[in-house]
Amino acid sequence: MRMNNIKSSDYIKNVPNDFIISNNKNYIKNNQVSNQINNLDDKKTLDNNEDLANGLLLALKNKKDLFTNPDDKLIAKNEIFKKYTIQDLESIKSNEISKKEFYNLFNSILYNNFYDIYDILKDRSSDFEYSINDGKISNLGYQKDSISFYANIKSLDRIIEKMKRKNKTNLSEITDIVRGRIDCKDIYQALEIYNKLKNSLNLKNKELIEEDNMIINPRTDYMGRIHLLIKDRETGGIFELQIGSKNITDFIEKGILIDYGIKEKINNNGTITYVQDTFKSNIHDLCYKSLNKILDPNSHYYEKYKSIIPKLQQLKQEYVEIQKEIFQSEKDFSFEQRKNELNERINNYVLKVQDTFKYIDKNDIEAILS
Amino acid sequence: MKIRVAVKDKDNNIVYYEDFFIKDRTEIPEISSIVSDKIIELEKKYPYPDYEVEQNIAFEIPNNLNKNEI
Repeated sequence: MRMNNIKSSDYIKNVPNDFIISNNKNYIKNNQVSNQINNLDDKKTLDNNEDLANGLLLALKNKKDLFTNPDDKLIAKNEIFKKYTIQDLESIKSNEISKKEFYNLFNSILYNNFYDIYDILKDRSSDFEYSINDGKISNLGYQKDSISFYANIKSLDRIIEKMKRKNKTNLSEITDIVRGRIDCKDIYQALEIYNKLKNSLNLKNKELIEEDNMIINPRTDYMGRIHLLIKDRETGGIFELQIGSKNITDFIEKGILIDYGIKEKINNNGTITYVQDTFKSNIHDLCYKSLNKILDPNSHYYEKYKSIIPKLQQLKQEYVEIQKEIFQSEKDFSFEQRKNELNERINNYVLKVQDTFKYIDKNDIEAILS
Repeated sequence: MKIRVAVKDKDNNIVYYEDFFIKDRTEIPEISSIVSDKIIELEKKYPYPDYEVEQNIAFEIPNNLNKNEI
């Protein structure tokens, strides 16, 4: 039973012996109120003590950073940068003041979103738990949650590359400059977090402007994730957030090392040494991003790798099948039982990917992924 | 909240990193500025595309930080 769901006047009347509530930054405040409650002779006194009941409710509900004011300077800067073209961005690279302003803006958007979204997630995780035994509230301590949340921003060089590659006219067309990901234990937890964010973002001065729920509506070759575009009203920036199952993420981001054998390396002094030529990547970059490009009959790669196209098609198909199996096993709660079998299948798949990709030029993969 | 500014080489090996922490929301403007300076400094020292400077943030509680803070 969560404190958030009950009215203040019902609070003491309804508490079970093992009552647990989630806490927030106002931990000390809550504790002070808890002590006052513990010191009451009779629980009924609380019903007549509106101030105390309201204080308790306020302490639990009140988040200090709710409705923080929009930062007009950052919003104005963001509006200016949004109109920047590739040429404008190239000019920033050689101008330290503009470059600093640019990074400063996007850092602020990143940290602000991360801070607030974490705060929303923290509520559901029961970071601080209380137990009521014999009418006494006592602090139980800190509990870690089973989700991980991380985020980053694209570098200026990467942004320029993407704009060129996708023929974008100005910066506002790139929505994943500031992006983050929440890995959950399964698709059900991902849906729970999605609902939590949907209901709480507004309280953090944020707005959900776009969503692609691939748990409810899976694509044929990509599933188990929810992509959200969140507008931060405090900074004016956009935050791209992906929420998904950790099991699917672990599969698609599994590291792959392609071994191209020994190559000659000419040193500065003219001598030659022999080094192992390798390429580090992951399943998603190779079997989704790269293969989508190579398997496109209109791309020049299709002609270049014609002799191994059937093998590459098989790799793509198996990539989709494994994802589907993980997704389905989470849906019907059989993942734990099938875990070993799926891991074995993934390990065999990695060997096939390594074996096939060594016939694809490293420079081509780099060009596709850049 | 931990911010890791890292430099990666072409093979994705981390050749340098430095961590920054935000304990309270009020520190965001200051840390944004410090990290921006650090990125600019590292981009000069480790030019793209041979190297890439990136930052990742994650929730982490350093030992000296109160658990009640982010």
